[in-house]
Amino acid sequence: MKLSTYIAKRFLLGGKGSGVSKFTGWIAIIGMAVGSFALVLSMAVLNGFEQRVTEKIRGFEGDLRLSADEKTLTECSSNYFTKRTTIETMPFIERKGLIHRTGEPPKLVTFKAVEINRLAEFYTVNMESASGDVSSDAVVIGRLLANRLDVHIGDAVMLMSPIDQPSVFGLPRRIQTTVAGIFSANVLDYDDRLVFIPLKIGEKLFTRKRGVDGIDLRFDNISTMEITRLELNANYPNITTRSWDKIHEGLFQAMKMERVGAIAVLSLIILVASFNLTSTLVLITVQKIRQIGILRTIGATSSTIRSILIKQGFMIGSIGVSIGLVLSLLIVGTQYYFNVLPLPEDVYFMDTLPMILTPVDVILVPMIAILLISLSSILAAKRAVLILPKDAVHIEK
Amino acid sequence: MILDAKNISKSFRNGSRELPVLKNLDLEIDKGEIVTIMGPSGSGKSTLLNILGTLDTADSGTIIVRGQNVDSLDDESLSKLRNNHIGFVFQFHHLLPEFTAIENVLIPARILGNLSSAEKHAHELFEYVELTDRMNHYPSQLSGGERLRVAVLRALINRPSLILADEPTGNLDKRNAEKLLVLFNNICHDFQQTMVLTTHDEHVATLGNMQFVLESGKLILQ
Repeated sequence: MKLSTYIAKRFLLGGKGSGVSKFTGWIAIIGMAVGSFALVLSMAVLNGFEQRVTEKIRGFEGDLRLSADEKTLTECSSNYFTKRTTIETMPFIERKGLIHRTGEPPKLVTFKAVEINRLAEFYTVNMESASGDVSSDAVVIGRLLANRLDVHIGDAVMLMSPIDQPSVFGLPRRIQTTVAGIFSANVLDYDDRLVFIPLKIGEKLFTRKRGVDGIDLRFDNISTMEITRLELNANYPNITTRSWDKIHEGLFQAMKMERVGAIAVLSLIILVASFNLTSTLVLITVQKIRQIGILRTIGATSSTIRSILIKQGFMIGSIGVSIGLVLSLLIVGTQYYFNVLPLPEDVYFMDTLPMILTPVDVILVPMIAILLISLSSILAAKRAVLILPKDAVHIEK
Repeated sequence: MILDAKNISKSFRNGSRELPVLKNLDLEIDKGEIVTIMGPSGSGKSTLLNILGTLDTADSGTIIVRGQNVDSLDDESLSKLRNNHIGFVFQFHHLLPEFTAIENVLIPARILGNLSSAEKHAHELFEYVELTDRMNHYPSQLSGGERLRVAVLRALINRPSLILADEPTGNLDKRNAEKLLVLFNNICHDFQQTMVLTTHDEHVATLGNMQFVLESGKLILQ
């Protein structure tokens, strides 16, 4: 074992004379452990929430959305997608409109006309209740909208598209239908604003601009999405392709910013622990001033003394970070597999606290810690080499 | 010659007052000599020993240890010189409390990078001072006399050219002080060891074959 490692280890943890240093060492270790524990857990929770939001949004939007004129979309459907069985397609018309119960004021909503019989198969809509037959000419609405309209499954509702008037003086087009299902997305304002209607009702309702507005795509293998997007853009220049994260770019950018901000703020815990580490190392230096002086007297160079202090810092830091990391991984693992920490579902849109860690996160925390430990140890070591052996050896004990 | 100190001067500043401690002091020590330096507290004995041991620097003058002028050496070379050629024994044992007696003795050898061959030598030294059964004890488990004997072994482990002992008996009772003097005498006789020892005790000073008194910053041969 290298001399500096041998002495650093003993100064910190070993022997009968290391009492006070051992205690202060353990306090610093606990500080580092708490810091890394908090950082890992927070990252896991942020990841968990982000993944749940992503899943829900992808469930509602599909993986990729194509927009173009009807001719291009039809051509694309018949020439491109018929040959690709690993890509599911869902043509849609999406327009603003009004919905109301007889005698009640109308509510402004977004109608998404789709092949309603394939709704639950294509979109992940978390159907709260359904009549069992969503293939009829009925609509599926969100839970909040159902509450606002005070409608239940089987109730009649009126759909209107005010801008689609048959003539200048005519009334807006109106179609009466029934509620076949109620979904609960619990993300964004889908539950309050979105109404799935059958494609053939959409075609009747929206007369001002005919034809589908776009096609939602679902990939069996998500890694093929980018290639498909490039191929589509190359073959059909009129087509606009937007992935689910681009459709909600603002939200995902905000989540990314929130994540970076949270990591930066939570790294402050490790920074505070590093200050604690610096003061512990300075304290250990003061406590060991006589020993450092003796080592210098008997031939240890100032670089050996510096190395001892830096190694002590790394020992404290790495033990602390390892403890924090192992504990947090245990908690994240337990929550991931057994869901032991519940959340009030009426407040949040999920019933358990989501926790997910990526290998990058597990590497990032020790990296941040190592950087801060290095700075702390170097600072403390700088003080140690200033000790003059001639002064230190005249300290009585 | 083991050590040659020429025109050594050292003074300390107390506010605006300059207090000269050593004044153009000369000292030559040959191999196997035992030099004792006697003087009252505050006469500059420890300062002189620190300068001779390269722990402190003189205001003027030159120190040559085994033909090497220490003024020309950097921090690393001075550390190597101390590790290789100078052994220190202090009034307080200054053993490292985190290490056992034998580990303490072996630290200079570890610094030198000579651990494996030093281990056998350390066992012989423990036998020599009759502390074999105590070598795995921590300093806190040893008596004052035992601690100081272990400190002497630490000074001897790298077979130094020179041992500098600063008031080694100053903190011991009469019986232990006598035992330590016998040990020093035996070491110098058996190992042809060169030694400089400071004391304020006339009896201890008789150990030396060259006995000096440090007075008004100068060494006076008795």
